[in-house]
Amino acid sequence: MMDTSYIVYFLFGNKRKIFGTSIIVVMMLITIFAEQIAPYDPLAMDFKPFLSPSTEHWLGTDNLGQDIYSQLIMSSRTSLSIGLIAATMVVFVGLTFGLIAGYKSGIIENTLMGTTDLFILIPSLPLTIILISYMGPSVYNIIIVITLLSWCGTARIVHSRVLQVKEQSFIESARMMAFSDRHIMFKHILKNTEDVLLARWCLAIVAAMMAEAGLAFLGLGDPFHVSWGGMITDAFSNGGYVRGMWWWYVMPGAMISLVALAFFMLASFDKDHIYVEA
Amino acid sequence: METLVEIRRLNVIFPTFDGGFRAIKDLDMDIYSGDKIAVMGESGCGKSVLGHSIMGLLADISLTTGSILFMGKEIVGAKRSTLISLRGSKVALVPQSPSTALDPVMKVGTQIDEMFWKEGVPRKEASERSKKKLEALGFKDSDAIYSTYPHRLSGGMCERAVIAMGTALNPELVIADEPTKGLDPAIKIETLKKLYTSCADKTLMMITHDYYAAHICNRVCIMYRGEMVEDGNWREVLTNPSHPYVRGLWSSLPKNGMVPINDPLRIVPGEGCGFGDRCGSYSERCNGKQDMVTDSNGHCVRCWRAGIE
Amino acid sequence: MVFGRKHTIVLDGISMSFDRGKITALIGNSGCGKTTLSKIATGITDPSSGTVSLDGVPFTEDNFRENRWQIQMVFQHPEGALNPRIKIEDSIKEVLRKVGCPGNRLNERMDEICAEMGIQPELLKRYPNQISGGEIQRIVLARVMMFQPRYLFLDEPTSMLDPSVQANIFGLILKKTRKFNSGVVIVTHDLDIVSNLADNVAFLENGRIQAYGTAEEVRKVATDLFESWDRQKNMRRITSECHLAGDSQRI
Repeated sequence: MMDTSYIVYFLFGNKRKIFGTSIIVVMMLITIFAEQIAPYDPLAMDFKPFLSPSTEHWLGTDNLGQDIYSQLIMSSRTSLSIGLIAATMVVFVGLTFGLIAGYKSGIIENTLMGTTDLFILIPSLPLTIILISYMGPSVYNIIIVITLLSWCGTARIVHSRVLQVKEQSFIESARMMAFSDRHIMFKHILKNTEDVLLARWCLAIVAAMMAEAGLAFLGLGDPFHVSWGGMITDAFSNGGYVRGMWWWYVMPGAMISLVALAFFMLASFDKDHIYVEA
Repeated sequence: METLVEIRRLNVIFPTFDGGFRAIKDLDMDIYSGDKIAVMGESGCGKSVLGHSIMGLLADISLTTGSILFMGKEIVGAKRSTLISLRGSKVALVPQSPSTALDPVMKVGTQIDEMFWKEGVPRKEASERSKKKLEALGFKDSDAIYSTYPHRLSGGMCERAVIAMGTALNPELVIADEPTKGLDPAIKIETLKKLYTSCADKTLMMITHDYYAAHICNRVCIMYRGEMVEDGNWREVLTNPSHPYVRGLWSSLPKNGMVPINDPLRIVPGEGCGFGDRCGSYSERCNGKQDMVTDSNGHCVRCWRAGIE
Repeated sequence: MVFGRKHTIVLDGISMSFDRGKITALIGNSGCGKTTLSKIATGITDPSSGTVSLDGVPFTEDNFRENRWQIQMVFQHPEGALNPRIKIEDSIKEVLRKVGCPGNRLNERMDEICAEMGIQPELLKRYPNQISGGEIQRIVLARVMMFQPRYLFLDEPTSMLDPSVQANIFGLILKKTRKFNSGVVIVTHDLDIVSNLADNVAFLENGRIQAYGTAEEVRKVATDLFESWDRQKNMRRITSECHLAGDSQRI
């Protein structure tokens, strides 16, 4: 469906993007090979608590004697998977609403975009907290709630892009050639929203990771799958801050920031792109 | 007659995905003060690029080598501040597509005022002068037009507004890029009249592919694939040209029977004559580097056959 | 038929028919409704009232989709005429598939068509914004003619192009439409084209057909239009008159 050369450009098109892609590749490798990379089992409480960084424990140990560095590695899985899955769902839902609303117009458009507007009005943070508290903090619930409250922005943007694309002559041509609505929507209009979708996906990943980190910080993260945000909370509530163990909370924060930076770089727009409208 | 612009060995190359695209190839040209020049040629021949490079607008996106001396100052490689001081007051561009050249969220009058503000003219005086300029360009109700937004203007009016902007500071050289594109014949006549009178005692370089519009100029240059192929007096070039391409161009006009020129066989021209693959009188000698052949009147043709006739 | 937007009547009481195998020109000043008329005839816009029929059979909801490919249109602006994110070859193949070309013959047919229409093979792998306007119009024409349409509408197809390319494109239009005996309707400002090419001419003003017939006949009614056209051939005299009259400005 997607054009390979566009994806290649998106990932490697300029220095910034190459830099972002490299960071992401490294992160992916860390996530996949977490068990091999982490020197110890993160849940093993075998060591003396509150140790400072040393050669055996690069980031020391926490209040339960668990190796912090291993926790950092393993938490990447939770943070990144929540980010990626939630973002993909957000884009999927937003795309569906925006594409259909933009193309069909009339009652369908009004209904769909009205619903979108409704969701935009909802204050997301309070509702997130309420829903998670009600549904229980599990990874699945977190993904669902984040998706539910973030799809509307993408829908709006896709909708406006579809409206622009619809006006162009090649769409009229396609209608005159008796192509079906389905063909026009997916082959033509969808293809012209690719750039918007990829960029939104990247931003959604960052937003989802931030949202999850925020939830974890409020104590609503999944207790069985610790994320970077969860580590920050642990650091603060279990004595890391008062003991001045800054490496405990700064490192997870730095990881989140690094991933966010990488995805922002990917989403950056560049005028050298061959698709730039004449 | 003094030389306003002196261009020597100008080359403009745009970086593209498959190597570079040479938009202008070894161009030499002199523009004299008071000239009214029409630069003509098909899309992609480099005429717009020529106009833009005289103003130094392509420095960031192209590789430009050679020399363009404008009133003695070197444009190629010049500092931004030099270029900015020349633009508007000494050389101005009237861009293609006037409807997109105007800022849709600013009133028309303000956009003309901006030209005056750049030269330090105080606001009140600037708006007086803008209104006078609009009147001179045929807008009877200049106050109304001054306070209007561009989307309310028709194509012809937009064009005249953009000409007003370009000629506001009475620059020495006005470069008009396709001023008559897409206009009705009646409007075209008015617009050309106004353009001509706005640059009456200055120099005008009109980039166009409208045969009839070119008649207002006294000198016509034809470009093909980045090279100047014919340059001379309007009557000669427009009615009795020497270069085979130019002859082909005029026979393809509707009034002359719309005889098309042969399709090109190759995309990237080699060393020899760029028109070789389409020319009816192609021969071995056309493979080498072709120089301009100049006759006693200053009429130049880039075709060795012209030198013989 | 009548076409109006809210309270502005753009076309008022137009009844006309276009002949197959003939070239009809629609002329008139900007805003007279000629583009709107073409859009209604090709089914892009619906009239406020009135009907469009093809060979005597009026278009209805049901038969519209099946039959509308028989009337095709080439637009004025090359930008936006092709999907900017699809390679040229894919744009062409898309239409080939639609008209029933079998999968294994796609490349072969595409090369044939490119040779016929003068489209250079190097362009096939490019995207629309990497090729010139003239080439885009050629490709649009190639796509459109694959349907062998009964009628071809052209909305100032070459006003954005230069004369040599214009000659090429019109040559192709004439060649292909003669082959399929299509009716050609050209909306244009260029009265030279009208005088030299058109069999029938319709002159529109204020949403009404003021004259219909051969170019000479219409010239008698559309005097302003033809006069302006002839005047612009004398631009030199006009501008030198201005100069002598002292219209020059200095500020």
